[in-house]
Amino acid sequence: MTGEELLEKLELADPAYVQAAAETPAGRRRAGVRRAVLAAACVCLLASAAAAAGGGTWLLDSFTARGAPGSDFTQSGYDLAADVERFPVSALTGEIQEAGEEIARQFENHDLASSWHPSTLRRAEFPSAAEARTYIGLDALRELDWDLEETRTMLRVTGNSQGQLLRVGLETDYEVEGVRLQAFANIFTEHDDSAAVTGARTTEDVEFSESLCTSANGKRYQVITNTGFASGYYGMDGYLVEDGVLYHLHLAYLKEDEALAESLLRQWADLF
Amino acid sequence: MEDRQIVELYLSRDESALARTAEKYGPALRALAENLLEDPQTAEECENDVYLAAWNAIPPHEPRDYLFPFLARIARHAALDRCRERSRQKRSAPLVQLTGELERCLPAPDNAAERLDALALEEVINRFLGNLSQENRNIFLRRYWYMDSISAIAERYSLTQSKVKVSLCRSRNRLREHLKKEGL
Repeated sequence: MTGEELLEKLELADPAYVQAAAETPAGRRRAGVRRAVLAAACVCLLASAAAAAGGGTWLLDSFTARGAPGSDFTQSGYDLAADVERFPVSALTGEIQEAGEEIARQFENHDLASSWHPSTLRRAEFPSAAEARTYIGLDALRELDWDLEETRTMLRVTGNSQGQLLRVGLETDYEVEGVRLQAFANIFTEHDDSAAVTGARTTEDVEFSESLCTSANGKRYQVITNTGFASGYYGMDGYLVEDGVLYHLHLAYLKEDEALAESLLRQWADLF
Repeated sequence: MEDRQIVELYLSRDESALARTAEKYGPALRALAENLLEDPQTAEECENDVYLAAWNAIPPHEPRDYLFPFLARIARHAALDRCRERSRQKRSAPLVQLTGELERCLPAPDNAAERLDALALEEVINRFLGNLSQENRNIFLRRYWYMDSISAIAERYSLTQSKVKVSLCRSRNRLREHLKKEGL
């Protein structure tokens, strides 16, 4: 059989299925994210409008020096929601499948007095991001062809006590002329029904601002920048969802390296 | 007018059946043909073929509950036939792309189609479709039955193009596995 014959033979599809596909679709369901949107008191119309064209992410909230009732501490930060794919665990075809059992064992052996939580498994032994991607084995996960020297690759796998994998985070670090870069790829599985919300928190009083950009390949991505920390470093973060995976680049840089940081962020976005 | 009433017009050999059909389904049938042919004039010819074929086919067929799929199947067939009439060099880009995508679903190109009669193949296809989620099934059918572009599907279901591509990729992999399991 050829592809053309198969295309033709698909005419044998049940008329009920064909009819259903012809009907006008009802509003799309995005319950998890929608709940998160409703829960955020500070969602402004501008942010929502930006979200629609923002490469699959949108800013829910940002705040500076926000105090919690009964606390002396204040926090600055932001929350960002992402429209990601919930991949079936079967799509992770690498050795990562074994991580579920290891996490379940961590739960069994967990000392309640311990400061670490048994749901996370960290692996830092990968010599390169390529090996870590092989370990994950997800087709949709992009190999970023970036001509920078990797300084570290770290994998974080989150699971539950039943050994089900919930999330996978792959971090690859680089350093370019004093600018520190952390590139993340975040994969959510079918077992994770929480809203896909990410963001940042600091006890310092910094302000965040948002912008939307378009890469050379026409991909929309969201950029969050913050004013300087006491250390003199500024932060710049790019977010983009591609093939259902949330990609994030964090850059830490000194004020005089701002143009280089912006250029690196553009390079990263152009890889998609 | 309800589909059942239109079918009754065909059954009583009332020529207004054609006008009612064109009124209700003409644009959708033309769009389906145009998806593949990329030529409005030929798509219009296909649409007219559909009315003639429907006039000849009802009766004996009585598609009271599935008039649109019945007509759309004829339109699809007519559009594919028109494509075949063209020389290989002039084949439409959508046909080349769609067949290329489906080629990868086939475990091994051979004479498998000849080994199965239409009824068995129909069962194989519908078992595969029945195992997909409704969303993935609709996306798959919009692409390979209605031959919509990725961007049109994304717009139709308010999804990102990436999500549509991932869904199609996953469905094609499942189809490949399914065909392999069925011995094709």
